[in-house]
Amino acid sequence: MSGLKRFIFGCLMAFSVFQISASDLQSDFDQANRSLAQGKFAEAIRQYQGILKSGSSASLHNNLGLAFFQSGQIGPAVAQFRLAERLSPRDGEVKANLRLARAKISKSITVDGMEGQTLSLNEWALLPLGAIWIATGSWLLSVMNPRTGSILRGYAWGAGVLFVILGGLAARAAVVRYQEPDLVVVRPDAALRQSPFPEAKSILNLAEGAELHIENVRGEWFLVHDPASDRSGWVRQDVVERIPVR
Amino acid sequence: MDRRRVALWTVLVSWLLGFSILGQSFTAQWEAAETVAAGESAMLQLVFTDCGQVSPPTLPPIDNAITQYAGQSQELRIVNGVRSSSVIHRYSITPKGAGTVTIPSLTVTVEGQKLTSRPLRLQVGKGFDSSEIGTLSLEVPKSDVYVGETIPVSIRFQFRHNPARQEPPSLKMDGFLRGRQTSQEGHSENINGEAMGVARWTMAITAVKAGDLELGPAEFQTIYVFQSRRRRGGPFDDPFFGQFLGGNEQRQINFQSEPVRLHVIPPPTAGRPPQFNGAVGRFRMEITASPTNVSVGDPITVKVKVTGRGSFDGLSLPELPADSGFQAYPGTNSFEPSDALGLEGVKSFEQVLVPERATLRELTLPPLAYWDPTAKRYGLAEGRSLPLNVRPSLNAAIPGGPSPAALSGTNPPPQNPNSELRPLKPDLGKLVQWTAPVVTQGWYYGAVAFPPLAVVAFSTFRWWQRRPKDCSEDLLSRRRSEVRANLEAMKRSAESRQAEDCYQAANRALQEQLGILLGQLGGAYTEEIIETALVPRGLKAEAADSLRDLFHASARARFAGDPSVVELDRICQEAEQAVRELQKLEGRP
Repeated sequence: MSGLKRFIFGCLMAFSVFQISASDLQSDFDQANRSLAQGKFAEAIRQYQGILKSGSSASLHNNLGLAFFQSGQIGPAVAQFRLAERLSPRDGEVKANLRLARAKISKSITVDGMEGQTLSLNEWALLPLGAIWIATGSWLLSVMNPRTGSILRGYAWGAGVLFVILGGLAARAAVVRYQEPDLVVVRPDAALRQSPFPEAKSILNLAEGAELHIENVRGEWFLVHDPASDRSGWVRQDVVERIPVR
Repeated sequence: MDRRRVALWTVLVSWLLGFSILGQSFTAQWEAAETVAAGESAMLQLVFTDCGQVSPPTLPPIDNAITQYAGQSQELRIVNGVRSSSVIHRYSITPKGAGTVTIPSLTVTVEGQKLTSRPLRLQVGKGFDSSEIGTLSLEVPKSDVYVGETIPVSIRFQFRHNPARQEPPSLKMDGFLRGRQTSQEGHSENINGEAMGVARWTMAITAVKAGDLELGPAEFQTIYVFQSRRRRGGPFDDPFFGQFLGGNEQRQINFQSEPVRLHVIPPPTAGRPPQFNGAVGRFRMEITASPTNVSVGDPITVKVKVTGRGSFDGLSLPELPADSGFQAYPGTNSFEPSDALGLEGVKSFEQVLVPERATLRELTLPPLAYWDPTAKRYGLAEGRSLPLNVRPSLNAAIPGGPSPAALSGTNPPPQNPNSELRPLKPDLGKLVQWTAPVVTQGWYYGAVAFPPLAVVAFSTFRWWQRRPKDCSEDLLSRRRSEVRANLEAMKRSAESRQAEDCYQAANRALQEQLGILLGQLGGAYTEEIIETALVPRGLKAEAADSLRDLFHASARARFAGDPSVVELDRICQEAEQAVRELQKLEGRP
C-alpha cells in the first residue's frame, strides 16, 4: 500500500470512529431526554453529566438545566442555562429558560450583562479580524492590478473603516462580558465567609442561584462580591459553578 | 521580713478569705408587715448576701396561697467600711382566705454551700370576701369530648362592682389547643332577683390527647379602688379631697374559678374509613376544576370547598392514590369562618394536578372521611366526579412530562409565554471544549497585527526597489529630467514665437542628451561629434542628417531674423526626434 493510500485509509478510519462516537453520544442524549420526560430527574441529570465528560453543547446544558429546574434545584439550573447561553447567545429558548429560573429565585435579582447581545465574545472578536484582512487584501490587489486599482482601493478604505468600528464594538462587548457575574451559587447551604477557612465567621447566607463576581482566588476558595447585598467575602469552590467567558 | 510581719500578713489574708466565705447569707423576710387582709398580697423577699448572682429559687407549694415571682433587685451596702452586696428575689404571696400562711424553711445551695432560711408566717385577716364583689366560673357545654373535637368554652365573671382595671382572664389548659376567642363585657343580668353585671370570654378549644383532662382553673386579675378607712370620719373625708389626699386605696383582687374535668376519648376504630385523617365534625365537599380540556402534562387547577361545622384548623384533604394518573403538587388553603369562634365556615383548598395519561376521562378526588361527634358515627364528604378531556401531549420533547410552569409553584400557570420553560432540545449539537476566549490568546493579536504589518513591509519593499542605486544613477536621472524640461521649454517658446528661446532650449536639450550619451558632464558639442562619435555608435544616416541640420539651424538662428512658424515647428519636431535617436544609442559601445 502506497503512502498516499495509507494516509487516506487512516483518515477514513478516524472519521468513522468520530461518527460512531458522535452517534453514541446522541443516543445517550436521547436516553437522558427520555428519562427527563418520564420525570426521572436524578437519572436524567446523571446521564447528561455523563455526556458532559465528552464536551459541552448549548443543547446539553439547556436540557441539564431543565432537569435541575424540574427537580427543584434552581441554583444549578441557573448555572446550566447560563452556560448554554454562553455557547449559544442567539438562542431565545435558552434565554427564556434563564429568565424564568432567575425569576424563580428572586424577583429582585438583576444581572447586568449581555442578555440582549446576540454574538459571543469570540464572534465579536472575529469580525474586526475579518475586516482588517479584507482591507489589506484589497489594497494589495489594487497595487498589483492598476487597472482595477481605484475600485479595490475603495474596498480597502471601506474595510478599514469597518475594522475601526467593529474593533470598538468588540472591545465594548469584551468589557461587558467580563463585567458579568462569574459564579452561580449551586448549593442551598452556601455562606459568605470573612476569610478562606471553613471555620471562619459567616457574613451572609447566599441564596441558591445567586450570581457573584470573582475578585480573587486562593486555593479552593473564591473571594467574591455579591451584587445583591453589595458585600464581599469568601466562598468555597464546591458551592458555586463557574461560568467561563466565551 | 521578720517573723512577726509574716504572721500578721497571714492572719490578715486568712481573715479576709474567711470573711468572704463566712459572709455568705440567705434570708427570707417579708417586705412589709407580716399581716395582710384577705384578698391582699404580701411580698416575700429572699435575700442572698455576698453570694454573687443567684438564680431565683422555686418556691414549694404553699397552702392557702398563690405565689408568683415578682422580679429581682440588687443592693450594695457599706457599713463601717465593710462592703456587702445582696441579690433580692421578690415573690408575690396572695392568700386564698383568712388564716395563716406559712412559708417553710427554704434551703438553697450556693457555690456548693447549703444555706437555709428560717420559716415565716403571714397572718391573714378576714378583710373582705371577694365573693361579695364577684365570682368567676368556667362553662363547658359537655364533659365527654373526642380527640380533635372543637368545643366552645366560656369564662364567666359575675360581679356586683365593676373593677377599675382588669387583665384578660387566663385559662390553664393541658391537652387542649386554644382557637378563636370572643369577649362580651359588662352587660347586666337578673340573677336570683338581683341585678348583677356579667362579663363572658368565650373561646374555641380542641382536645388533642385522650384521657381525663382537667381544664382550668381560670384566673382573673382585677384592680378595685376602695375608699380608705384611715380617713373615714376625718375632716377631709370627701371624694373631692380624697383624690388629692389619698383617700382612695387601690387593691388587687384575683378571682379564680373551679377547674372542670373533661373525659377525652379518641374516635372509635370500629367502622373507621380508610381515608379518615382525623377530621372531627360534619362536613360537605364541593369540587371544581379548570381547565378540563387539556393535554398530557398540562396543569389543572382544582378547587375544593369544604363547608360544615367542626375542627377546621387541622382539616386536610386526603392524598390522591399513587395510581390516580395525576401528579399532585402542594397546594394552598384558606378558611372563611361564618361564626366568631370559627366553629363553622368554609375551608378552600387549591391544588395543581397534572394528568400523566391521555386515557384519563374524569377527575375524582378521594372522599373526606370525618367523625361526627354529635351523631357519633363516621361520615364521608364526597365531591362529584368531573369529566375531563385529556389529549396526548403536543410537546413531543417531553412526552408525558409535567408542564414545568406547574412545577414552579402552586398557582396555576400564567398565560404569559415568557413565564414558561421552553421544551427540551432533541439534538445534542456539536460538542466543544471550553477554551479561553480568543481575545485572551496571543495568536489573535498576531492575526490582527499581521495585515497592517504586511502592508508596511510591502510598501517598504517597493520603495527600496525603486530607489536610485547610486549617485551616478541619481545624476543621470536628473540629467534626463533636464533634457525633458528643455524640450518642454522649447515647445512653449515655439508656441509663443520666441525663436531665440526656442533654439536655445533645443540646443540645451541636444547638448545634455549628447553628454548623457557620451558619459560627460556638460559640454559644447559641434556637428563634428556626429562623425567622430555618433556614427561609429550606430547613428543612422537619416538621423545624422537631421541632427546636422539642427546644428546648422541653431547657428543660423543666431544671425538670421525671426523664422517662420513652420520653421519653428519643424525645428521642434527634429529636436525631439534627434533626442529619441540619441537615447537609443545609450548603452552602445
